[in-house]
Amino acid sequence: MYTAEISRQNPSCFLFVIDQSGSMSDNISGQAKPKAQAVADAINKLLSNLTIKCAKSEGVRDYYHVGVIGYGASVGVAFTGGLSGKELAPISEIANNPARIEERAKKVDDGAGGLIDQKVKFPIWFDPTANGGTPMNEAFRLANNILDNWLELHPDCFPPTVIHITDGESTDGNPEEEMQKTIGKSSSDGNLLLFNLHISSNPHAKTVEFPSNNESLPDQYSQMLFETASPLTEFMVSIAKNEYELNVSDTSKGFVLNGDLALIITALDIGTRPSNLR
Amino acid sequence: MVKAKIISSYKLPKAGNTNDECEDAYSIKNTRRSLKVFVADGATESSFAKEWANLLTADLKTIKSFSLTNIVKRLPKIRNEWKEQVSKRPLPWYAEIKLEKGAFSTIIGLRINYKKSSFNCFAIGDCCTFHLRNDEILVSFPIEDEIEFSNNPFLVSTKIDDDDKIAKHFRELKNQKIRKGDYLFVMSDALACWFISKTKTNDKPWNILIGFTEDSSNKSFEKWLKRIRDEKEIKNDDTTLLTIEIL
Repeated sequence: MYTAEISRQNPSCFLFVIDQSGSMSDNISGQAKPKAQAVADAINKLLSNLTIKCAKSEGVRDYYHVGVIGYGASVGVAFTGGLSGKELAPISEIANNPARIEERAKKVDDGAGGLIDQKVKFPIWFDPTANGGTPMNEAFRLANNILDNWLELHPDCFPPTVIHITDGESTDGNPEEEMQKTIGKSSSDGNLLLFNLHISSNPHAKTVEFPSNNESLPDQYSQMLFETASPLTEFMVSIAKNEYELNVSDTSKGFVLNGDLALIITALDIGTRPSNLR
Repeated sequence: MVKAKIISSYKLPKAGNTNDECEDAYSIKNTRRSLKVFVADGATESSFAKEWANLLTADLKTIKSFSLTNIVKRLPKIRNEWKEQVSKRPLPWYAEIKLEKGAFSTIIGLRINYKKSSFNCFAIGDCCTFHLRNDEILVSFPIEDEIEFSNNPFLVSTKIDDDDKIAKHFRELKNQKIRKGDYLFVMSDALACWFISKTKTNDKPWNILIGFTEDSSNKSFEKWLKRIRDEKEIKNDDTTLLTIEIL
């Protein structure tokens, strides 16, 4: 399980499901940053990381196809511009079609014990969006359709990874059934991997990363998102332990509650690091 | 006093990739006194790894002895050449960022001293050398057990940050005696892993590899490699093999 080669002949897929509801304009608990901004930053950073992972001297190799579903005032594919309307796009197309490329300052070691600002390129595909309800059910129905089509065409692929970022309160009914359908999907190489990244406004919510049980989760929303998240694969546990020194176990799940951007990116990096990229 | 002859040298990309995309590299330098060979395995995760592996194997041919100091001393020059080579044309945003992360490669070097009838070897990472005599593997270097192969071997980087770690991962083998009729195999990790596991099960994998020497084209080796890849006996990875016969 989880040993299929990821290659241009046998690509894998990533599907992001992003909450763009009105409540995402609230600040993250304890931070002066709207949730929607944190999500946009995370998704842009992740798409950039994925592109860089697949970049070779001759260009970007299509090891992955990537889709983004946004749900809020409406549910649909969230790409715009050159990627408009695409449910899944090869990573090379994503690489060549950011909405814009910004330059941001990054602190780097000046070699003399200090830090200096260095300009780095930061491609933007998504800007923060927050309006309407939270139709999580409908979003997962669409995700399941897209995943079914992908799995039909790629039955032996490394299982798709779904990364769901939300503040957790569905407004179109309990989405658990649809999400269980999602994690029940599989290729010949194993079950699909669902990561739930929960950005909660609950004042009792503390940062929880890759838990093995729901003991420290503050409400039914985070508990549902914990229950429906996939267990980390052996390789992910190894990266989380050895490279990020996170306290994880073999029963840890792909669930993060109120992680800061760095932790969200870490979670995404762990979720996008199969051992067998070719 | 011995002599040595390279009886086969193969370098093939992983299935699905073109020859040009192969990120393994090797080099050979044969003189009156010695034979030196190097195999490097550029890391798929980095870009311009093929260029880095090529430059490492090409440059290290010039060093006289395989000491850690000698090798580390060459790195700044090789890094500069790599930078020059990869910055020739403007790059898109992703290639620029990836370039910042550097390129990575494992490397192994083997030097046969004809007069002393011995060889020295160094390795950083998981390319391997095997010394065969009378149907017995005398040396399996630097890895002896297939469980030691991982997806994260230590790699020589185009960035200087990792130089202090090289000493920790540098492996050396000195004055290993050889005699006429011996064989030495130098190979990249996937084939080495296969070789070790077959040796363990008494399947004498060297007989298969020595058998390829009669065919000067790549074809029989290529066909065989394809078959064992299809049968999942070996990891689908860039594959390099140098076989040396001691005369």
